[in-house]
Amino acid sequence: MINFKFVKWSIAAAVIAASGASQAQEITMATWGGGVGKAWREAFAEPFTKQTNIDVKIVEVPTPEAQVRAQKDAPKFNAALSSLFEASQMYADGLLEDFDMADFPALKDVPEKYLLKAPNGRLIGVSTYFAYYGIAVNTDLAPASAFSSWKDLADPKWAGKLSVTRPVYSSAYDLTIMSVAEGGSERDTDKGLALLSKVAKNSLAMYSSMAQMNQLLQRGEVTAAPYYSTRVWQMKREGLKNIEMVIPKEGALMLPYIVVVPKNAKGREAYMKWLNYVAQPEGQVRIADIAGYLPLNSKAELTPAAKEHLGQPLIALRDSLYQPDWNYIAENRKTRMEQVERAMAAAGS
Amino acid sequence: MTTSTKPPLILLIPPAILLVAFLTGIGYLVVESLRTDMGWGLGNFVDFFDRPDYVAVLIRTIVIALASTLLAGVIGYPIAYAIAQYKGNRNFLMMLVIMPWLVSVVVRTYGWIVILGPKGTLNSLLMSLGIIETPIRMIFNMTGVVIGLVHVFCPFFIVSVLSVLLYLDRGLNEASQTLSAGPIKTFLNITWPLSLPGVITGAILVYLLSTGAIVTPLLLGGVRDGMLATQIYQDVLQVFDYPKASSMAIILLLAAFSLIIPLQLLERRVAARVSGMGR
Repeated sequence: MINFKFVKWSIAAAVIAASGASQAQEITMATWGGGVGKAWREAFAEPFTKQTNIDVKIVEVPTPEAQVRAQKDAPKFNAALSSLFEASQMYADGLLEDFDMADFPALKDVPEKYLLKAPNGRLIGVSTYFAYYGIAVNTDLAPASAFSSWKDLADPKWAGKLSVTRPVYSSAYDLTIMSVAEGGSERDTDKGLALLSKVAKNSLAMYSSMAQMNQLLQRGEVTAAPYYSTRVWQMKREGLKNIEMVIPKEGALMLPYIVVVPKNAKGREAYMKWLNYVAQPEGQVRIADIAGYLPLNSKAELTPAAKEHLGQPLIALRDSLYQPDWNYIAENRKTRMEQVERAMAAAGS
Repeated sequence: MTTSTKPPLILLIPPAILLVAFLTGIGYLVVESLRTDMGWGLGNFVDFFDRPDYVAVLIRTIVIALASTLLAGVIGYPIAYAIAQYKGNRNFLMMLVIMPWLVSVVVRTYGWIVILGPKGTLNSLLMSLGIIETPIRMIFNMTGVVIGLVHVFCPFFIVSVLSVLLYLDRGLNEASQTLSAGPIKTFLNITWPLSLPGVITGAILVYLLSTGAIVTPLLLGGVRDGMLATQIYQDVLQVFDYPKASSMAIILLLAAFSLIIPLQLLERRVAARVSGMGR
């Protein structure tokens, strides 16, 4: 006689074991939305699965950092895309794994300054590509040359014709690059804060999403805004001819992106393979073509189309961008945000 | 012989669950709001009121919520009244009122940018007619936020008022007119007082929803038009400063209650008067 109870429990155990095994052999990675997830699937996930037979699930979320923090004790993701300052702060809060440089041979082709390291020298994730933060201009409303300096954004003639991002990002990005434009740095921000305050005063709206900013620019509601190179790349790719990205004479801000692993995430073998994969040039070249994120690996050779779009050698562009100390920015995140919030509030009075 | 009209106790279970969930949430907020870097205390509240920009955000939140409530009332009451008086298919009109709820609030809010933005339909029309030379700023300021909130929350007001108007005893109106009162006098002395419970409920709903609005102020507000809920959203989801966000949530709750409690007392008095029990 068949013992049905035994069979039931055996099946249940097998299902649990199988799901555990599959989780261990799977990559579940959090990325931002707005096309980032789709680009990752095409550029990295699908080729990686073909090569290794490890499934990769790319999950688009509003903020990967929020997911890592929310799942602090039981991470459901075993990889997450992050900016450097967010990764630095997550690491400081004990939320991320760290690694040996020797674990990722491909990183020897990434300049040291684009790697994010902990005070103990351990690596906090794998730097994979970069975007840059310059000025996006609707050329139907103003020539790109009208914004050859960050200081041009403070000109009163642009009152009500600009846009700025939320303090959480402007305190990290705008404040840094505007301080550089004023002769300071991420550590010396007094003049940069005054400049940002003037830009805020000229701003019609504070954009809270890329979709919103794209719409404001495309419809001509605003003339210009400090913005991400990748978004302009994508708009141009969609056929828009009246949106240009300007790198002001004081330079643009380098925005490297990094793949991190939440503390105690499952599937070490799989995520180590994944991290090694995203450090290689091949996937980085593909995502440059798809979404305009540019390779950090010096061995990456852009396709002719991407080269033409870029208009200058990749390495020259990469090395011309301002790379701040993201660890310093992360350590001072709250203070900087408070400064920016106060400056923006005062800009209206 | 009389039969008992007491409802069965089992009916108390759902509200009890809601009450427990609500009180647990509030309790968590209170505890979290008292956590500071230096232990337990009121530091987060002190920090909030020490910052003039945050106090301005609180005042702006209350002003915008009050303006939205008032405007929703001015627009919503006539609509509810017209639907109540309509002799045809009221359900169709009700469908029209609640139809916007079928569309995402984000999409609806973006619609206002297309209509009222500097390059929007209305500004373009006024400029092409030569009425204005430069675009009027109708959104990306407090006006824009109020317009957006009224659009989103007005149906709540309409439904609240309509639910009262539909159950008014029409005999009272007929009696009033029989006693030679005109339609305006009848409305002012009969319909309006009797519909006040619905008006107050609708006002409470719109005010509460407006104080907690996030999407509309984010999309239709300008650089300096943030509301307290957007600030809380930022501190929870982007800065991850839960104690600070909790203290703001408590302040928002108290700001909401400061108007809701007097309104509820008023509603009770009105209800008592309407039912003939008030003196």
